[in-house]
Amino acid sequence: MFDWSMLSVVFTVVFAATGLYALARLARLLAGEVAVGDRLVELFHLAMSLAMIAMAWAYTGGPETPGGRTEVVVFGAFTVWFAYRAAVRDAAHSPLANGYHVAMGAAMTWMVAAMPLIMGSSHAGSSGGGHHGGSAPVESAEPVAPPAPAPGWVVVVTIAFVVLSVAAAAWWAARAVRAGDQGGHADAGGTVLTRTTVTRSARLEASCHVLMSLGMGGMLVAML
Amino acid sequence: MSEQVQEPVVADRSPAALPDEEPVQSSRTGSRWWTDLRPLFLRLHFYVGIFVGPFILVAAVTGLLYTITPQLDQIVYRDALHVPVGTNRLDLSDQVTAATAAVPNGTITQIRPPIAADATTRVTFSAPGVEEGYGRTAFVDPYTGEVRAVLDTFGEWLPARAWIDTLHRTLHLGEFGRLYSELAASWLWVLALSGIAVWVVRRRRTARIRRTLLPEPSARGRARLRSWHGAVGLWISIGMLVLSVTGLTWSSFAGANVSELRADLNWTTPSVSTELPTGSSAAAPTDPGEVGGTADRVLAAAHEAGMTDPVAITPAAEDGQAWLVAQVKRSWPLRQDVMAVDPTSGEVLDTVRYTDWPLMAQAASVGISLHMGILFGIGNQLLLVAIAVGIICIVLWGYRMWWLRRPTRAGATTPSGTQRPSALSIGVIGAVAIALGIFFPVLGVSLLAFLALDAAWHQLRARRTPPVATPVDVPERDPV
Repeated sequence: MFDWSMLSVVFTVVFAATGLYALARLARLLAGEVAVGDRLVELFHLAMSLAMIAMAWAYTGGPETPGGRTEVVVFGAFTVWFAYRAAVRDAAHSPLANGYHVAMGAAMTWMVAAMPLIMGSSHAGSSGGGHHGGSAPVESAEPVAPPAPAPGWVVVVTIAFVVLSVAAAAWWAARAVRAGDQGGHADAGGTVLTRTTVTRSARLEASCHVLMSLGMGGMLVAML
Repeated sequence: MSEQVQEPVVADRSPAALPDEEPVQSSRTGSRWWTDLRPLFLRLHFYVGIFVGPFILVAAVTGLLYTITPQLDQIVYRDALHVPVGTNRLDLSDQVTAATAAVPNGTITQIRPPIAADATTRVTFSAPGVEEGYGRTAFVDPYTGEVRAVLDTFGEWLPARAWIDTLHRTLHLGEFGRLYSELAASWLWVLALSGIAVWVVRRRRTARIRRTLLPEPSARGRARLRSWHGAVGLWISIGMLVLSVTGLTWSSFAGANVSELRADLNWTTPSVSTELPTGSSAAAPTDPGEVGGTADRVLAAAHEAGMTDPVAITPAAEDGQAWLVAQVKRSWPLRQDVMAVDPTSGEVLDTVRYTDWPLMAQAASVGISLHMGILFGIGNQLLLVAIAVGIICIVLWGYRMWWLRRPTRAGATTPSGTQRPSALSIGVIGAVAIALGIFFPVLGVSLLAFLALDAAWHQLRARRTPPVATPVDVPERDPV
């Protein structure tokens, strides 16, 4: 995906961390070990982390590939869901948090859908296994088109998402710092957790969001 | 109100459970991990069965239909496949000339000499108007030169078999339809393994082996169904695993990963080199008589070098390339040797023998023949019939069990009752699922879709349900 493979490594480390955190949170929610949490948000975080790692190593491509089309559908669906929650003013989730996830979902969808335009090239996908009734067709990679400059409006939209991501990272960083001011809450057993536990948990969650936001912005910048 | 991930806490008072049978509950250290994992395996088996069951059922029904295709071919295409035995066979050049006259504007892609004294010669062409992946094949009487039939064939499959083959693979819905069979193949092994785990590791106080291997005749209702589902499932589990693994080689996405893995591990089928020696300039013949004559020459050379029938002769695709003569026996013992022959001199330039293939390449070809029911004749077909019928039965019994235990019934609980796996178990299985989902993309995407839809359903239901008062009154906390 990138000329500098170290960049791919950096993105992999960042999103592996966020993916592991999301998986751990999701597992605890499914096991009922925590009462407060959102399975869909953790699924979104996990899917986004995996998709980012795949993109960093060019395992998936733009919307002309099956993987790219799948990502557009998946993250488009997540975006619509978070937008619905924001529209109905779901009391269980803060408007800002819903808005954040709408923005990130839209950014992911844009990243994949506009990849050929942003990067000025496309990635071809393989079409899979052969037919065994006779001779199997030989699969070969399609030639990669030479890079073309991204249209102006594409650059503007991409930079807008970068700005949003950086702003979101700053907001989450502020939440991480302010996390110690929050009150206690009950775990699945009804016991009120200590302030230290709540602070650590809230800071960890906010920090992961900082990473994801910065990762999103960084990926978009790297694609330009 | 935050999303509460809870299950109804209702004891399972249904008569479904056998009085002297229960899941393994032990305080022994060795089985603690299973006590923790079993609820997860049971829920996985249940949910995968419910949602993927229809696809597996369709694959089993169409697969059952496929098992009769060898006999169907012999009945429907008897005139094309068989001729009265004559005294002297015509040269291939004469037979190819006759075939070419029956398929004008075609380019010969393969010639298959007769496999028996009463069999026809097949000459396959690429021709305009033929569906992609198909060839137009003329079936020629080797004794008289009469063209018995001209059919559009899919590799070596005749039209009826090709139609049923496509039905089984794609439901005749093109590349989109391949998703259904890949979904079935991707999840079938998960169902088989999870089912084996939850069925075998049940503590039965009496007649453990018999009650594991055979249905329970004295049981009633859901317990009886479960005993049939479990016992039959256990017996056909090996078949399901083989069908799943071999079926994935046909799939779009997992199949590509399988091919890549095989290439990385040098497990691919080796191929001969078609390069001609320096200085040799054999032009690809276009005259049918020339093609037939060259076919005679290369076939004779291959026979002289030790190749036995049945074979297929593939003309050079371009000038300056060798012709290929390949064995095409896909029943046991397989014969798949290939020779590259100089069409001008008749010299055998390169040979790849089946016995020299990598072990996994041989295993793959055996597995594919087994899946298609052609490895060991009628016995293979009957085995596939048994497995297909078994799969159909266990899917239907599974739905019947679900119906008897549906959530609206009093006393009913979700699978595994109030047992919950630990977060560690879920996390470990989740990590394994992610790795598998990358290799089997349809499995990964379908699993993600299910988890997302399930979470969305819970959230929508929570919005409609009034909040339950909790013993500890705490301020709301933003869950994100």
